[in-house]
Amino acid sequence: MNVEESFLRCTACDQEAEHVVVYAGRFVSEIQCTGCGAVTRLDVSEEYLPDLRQRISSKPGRLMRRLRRDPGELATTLPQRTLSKPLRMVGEFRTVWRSRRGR
Amino acid sequence: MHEAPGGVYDASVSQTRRHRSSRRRGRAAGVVLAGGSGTRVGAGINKAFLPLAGRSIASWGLNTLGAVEGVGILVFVVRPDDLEHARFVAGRETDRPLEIITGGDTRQESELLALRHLADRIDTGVIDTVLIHDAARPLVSHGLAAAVLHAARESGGAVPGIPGTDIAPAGDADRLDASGALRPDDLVRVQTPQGFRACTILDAYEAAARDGFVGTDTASCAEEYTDIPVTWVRGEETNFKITYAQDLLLAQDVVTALGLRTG
Repeated sequence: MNVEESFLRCTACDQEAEHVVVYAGRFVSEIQCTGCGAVTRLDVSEEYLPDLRQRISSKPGRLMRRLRRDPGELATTLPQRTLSKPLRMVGEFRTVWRSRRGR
Repeated sequence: MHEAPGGVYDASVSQTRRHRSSRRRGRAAGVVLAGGSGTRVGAGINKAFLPLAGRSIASWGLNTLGAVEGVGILVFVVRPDDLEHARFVAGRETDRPLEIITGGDTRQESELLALRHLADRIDTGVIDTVLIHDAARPLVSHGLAAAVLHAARESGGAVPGIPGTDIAPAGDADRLDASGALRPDDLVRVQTPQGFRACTILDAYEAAARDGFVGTDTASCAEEYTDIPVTWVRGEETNFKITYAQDLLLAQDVVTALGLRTG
């Protein structure tokens, strides 16, 4: 699960306000306006698994590209990212599950 | 990464290599503006750097412009606060080298700084055309960018537009204007990328800066300070600007529907 905050215009209150955007993998699963509290939730469970398969299959290629571009950056970030991956995946599954229950 | 005077950051290549590379690939420059997109004090990140289907919104437009035949140089204009994000985009999310520069407080100032960054190459003829694009329009197609570039080279200036047949002029109070002075058939909703002859638009922006003129987009400055005819090519409904939160969801649906998923 990845959470970002950014200024967007709210469809509900029509004000420019900070929005909390929750991602499950590559998909936006929830957007909340911090101004009026309006929440939009999306069920991303159907798209998530095919996309996860695609992410896994393309991972070696993406790692190779990073290795070619900046081996130092990859060497310094990969160990920590690898160790934290299981926890991040659990967070992703939880977000997908929540989006499914929120249908 | 090289840092040059004036807060100009070169993402990956030296000036000499850039010149050789641009001559080989073409004589147009793509400029992507992320200077003021969704930025307020206290905001998390500029909306241009929000992820869309696995990579930042800005990187979609950068990769599309970079893939257009004839575009040899890509300039990415960002806020000073966003330089780290921009370097990440340059290193991890784009296929072509980026020249990253910091923009100004307004869109027009950012455009001027981008044109000044390219001024030497414009003056020497290395760059003949510039395509200026909003980072917040991630789904511009390769075909549309190529069509704007072609039209700009033909006529001197070109913008994408959608015929405004669904636009009605507003009148007094809450009423529509029924005078017929403005016909929807005469209106187009203008998009980006907007393409212009480089030397002409650079002169126009310098003149506008001297006069303190601030336009709404590149075309408005061109209309005010040049006599080149600005033509329009048919834009695309999918080339919308991410403004509302729901636009992000719509963009995500378009990416999925068109099979544009990345890496």
